[in-house]
Amino acid sequence: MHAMFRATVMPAWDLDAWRAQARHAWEAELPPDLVEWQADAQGELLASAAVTEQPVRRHGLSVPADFIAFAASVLCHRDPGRHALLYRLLWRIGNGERALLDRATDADVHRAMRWSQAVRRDTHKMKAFVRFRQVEGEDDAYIAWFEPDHCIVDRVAPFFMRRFAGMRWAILTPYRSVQWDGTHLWAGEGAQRADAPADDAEDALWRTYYANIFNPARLNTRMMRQEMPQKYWKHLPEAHLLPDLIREAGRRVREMDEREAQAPRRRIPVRPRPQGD
Amino acid sequence: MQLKDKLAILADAAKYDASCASSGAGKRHSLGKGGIGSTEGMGICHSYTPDGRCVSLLKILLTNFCIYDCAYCVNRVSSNVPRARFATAEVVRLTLEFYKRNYIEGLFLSSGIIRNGDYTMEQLVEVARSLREDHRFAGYIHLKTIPEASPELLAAAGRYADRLSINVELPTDAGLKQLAPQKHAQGIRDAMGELHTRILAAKPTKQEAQPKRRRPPKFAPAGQSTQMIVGADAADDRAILVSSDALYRQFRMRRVYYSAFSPIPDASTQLPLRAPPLLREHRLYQADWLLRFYGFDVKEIVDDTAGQDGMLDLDIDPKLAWALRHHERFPVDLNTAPREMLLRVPGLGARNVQRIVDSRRQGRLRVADLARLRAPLQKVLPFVVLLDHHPRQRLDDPVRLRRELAPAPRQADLFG
Repeated sequence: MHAMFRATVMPAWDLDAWRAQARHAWEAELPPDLVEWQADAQGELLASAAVTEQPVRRHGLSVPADFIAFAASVLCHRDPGRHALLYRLLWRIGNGERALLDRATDADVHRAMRWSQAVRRDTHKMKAFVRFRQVEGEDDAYIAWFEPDHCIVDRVAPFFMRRFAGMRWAILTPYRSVQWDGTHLWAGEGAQRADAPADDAEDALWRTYYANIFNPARLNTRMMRQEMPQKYWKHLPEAHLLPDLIREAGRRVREMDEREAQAPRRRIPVRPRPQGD
Repeated sequence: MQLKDKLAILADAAKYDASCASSGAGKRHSLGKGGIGSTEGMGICHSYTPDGRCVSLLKILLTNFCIYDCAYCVNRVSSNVPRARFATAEVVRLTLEFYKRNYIEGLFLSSGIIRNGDYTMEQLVEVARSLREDHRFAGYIHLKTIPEASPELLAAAGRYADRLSINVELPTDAGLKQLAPQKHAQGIRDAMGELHTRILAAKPTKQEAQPKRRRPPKFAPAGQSTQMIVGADAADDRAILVSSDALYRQFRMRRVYYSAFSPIPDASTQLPLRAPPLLREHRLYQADWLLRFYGFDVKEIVDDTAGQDGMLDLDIDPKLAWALRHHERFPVDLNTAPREMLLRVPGLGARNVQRIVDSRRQGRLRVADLARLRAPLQKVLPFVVLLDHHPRQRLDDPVRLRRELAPAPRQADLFG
């Protein structure tokens, strides 16, 4: 390949940033295999020309609304090839394959769908497994540490804003952090695990609940691991209990099984039936 | 007694209720309202216990004191389990503090019956009222409803809660009479009917859903659900599914939960000695799905004429079992068959059926296309025709096909 044109998407997960570059490339009639996509500015040093500097040869590409929503989710995937893949889809849609996204069996669509699903799953797990820890000495201020697989912090943050509007909170991750002060949502650079409190006084009660809602007679660790993969355990205060709960389950069930029926030790006086019953 | 000790007892007492769903409440958030909480339609599981079950709600009993003596219940009056009772403020505190740490989606509050139905219901409603009104809590609330509670209390419960539930407990009236002598099947059905009427009346019509129109007062927007215990009485799977089907039709239940009766501490001598396999519960859930989303009738799922004894097969799923009984209706051509028939193909879920319908408009499907949808090919291919595939004679010998498709027996301890 030679004579490549360069498209720079910053930040790499941002829909508007990708869209602006894609529009320039489309309007300059640059086919997908001539455009090199990059997620930071280091490529500026290379000799290739920016798509934004190419002459406009045509206008007006309208794409189906579901493509834009779909692209927004695919862009959150970490794979460096996502920008190029989306441009290839855009190119094909613009060249007559309007219903392309309905073809789940097409190789490009299939790959993009898998990435979109991975992002959706990661998003869902982040909503589930973020754990806020109260900041000592402050009223209703909380910090969470989380490590998402994909670039989803900006995508998920509004969910936490709608949910925890009455609190002040921050979610820190290695690549990006987000903070809600009660009126505004701020996004900024990544942080380190040590920047968030290591535990919370409420964790002890939560562990009590977790240990007691578990039914040892239904032990199914395969299912548990499938839904709550081990990589998340370090964020979850209840996960420390898992080895003991699993080890003890068999003994607890055996004891219940072997126990002889006991005569009631306490008597509650029989009350008259409630009226109208 | 310390809060921690109460929590241990009253969570332990609540774990035999299978439901932990936090879905269906519609959209609600706490922006600009001075509280916390949101629901966005889809439930979230915040943790999983080693039994593989989702932890979505703080599921506790207000108290496990109970005047009833239901043989299957760990909290029956004649059981020797330790007893405790929460104060309203304690439940409110636990719900809010757990919610703020993102441990939970909300509260599922149930209770033993103390004094009488109305008194107990009043206590439950007061917790929900305090969360909603005193603390502007917008998270999910599921309240267990006491069948004999008065209409005013039901109305209040529906105003504060997203979901209400009354447990049918056992699949047949005879089973209920035998194991829960103080409960009345007719009273339970009447109360479900009452909830159903109120839920329907509160659903805004199309006109009322327009902005500025007056809407009817809110009542349990996530509907009602129920639970029945499997394996504690003699009811077979057909009786269970007939009962569920009636509950879905009569009361538009959002869910019927099946809870395989499991060993409890201090069990009653009235219970069978052995717990039913959890696999039976799993097959019932699969059959329940076939009833609700795949267009099957109970009679097709448990078929008298095909020599079934009223029980679902344990080794293969009920859709595969149906397909093997009706092998003459296959193979199905995935490129031309109507949706109703695609839904009956073993191994094809509702989502993949939709994808097939969408994709085949664009071009004829081959085996590689099906593989890309991540359909379980081994199970699907014997029943379908594609551009480059035909099962040939495989369908002529259903006994052999069944042997090929039934999984090798699994480790018994997984399913008890």
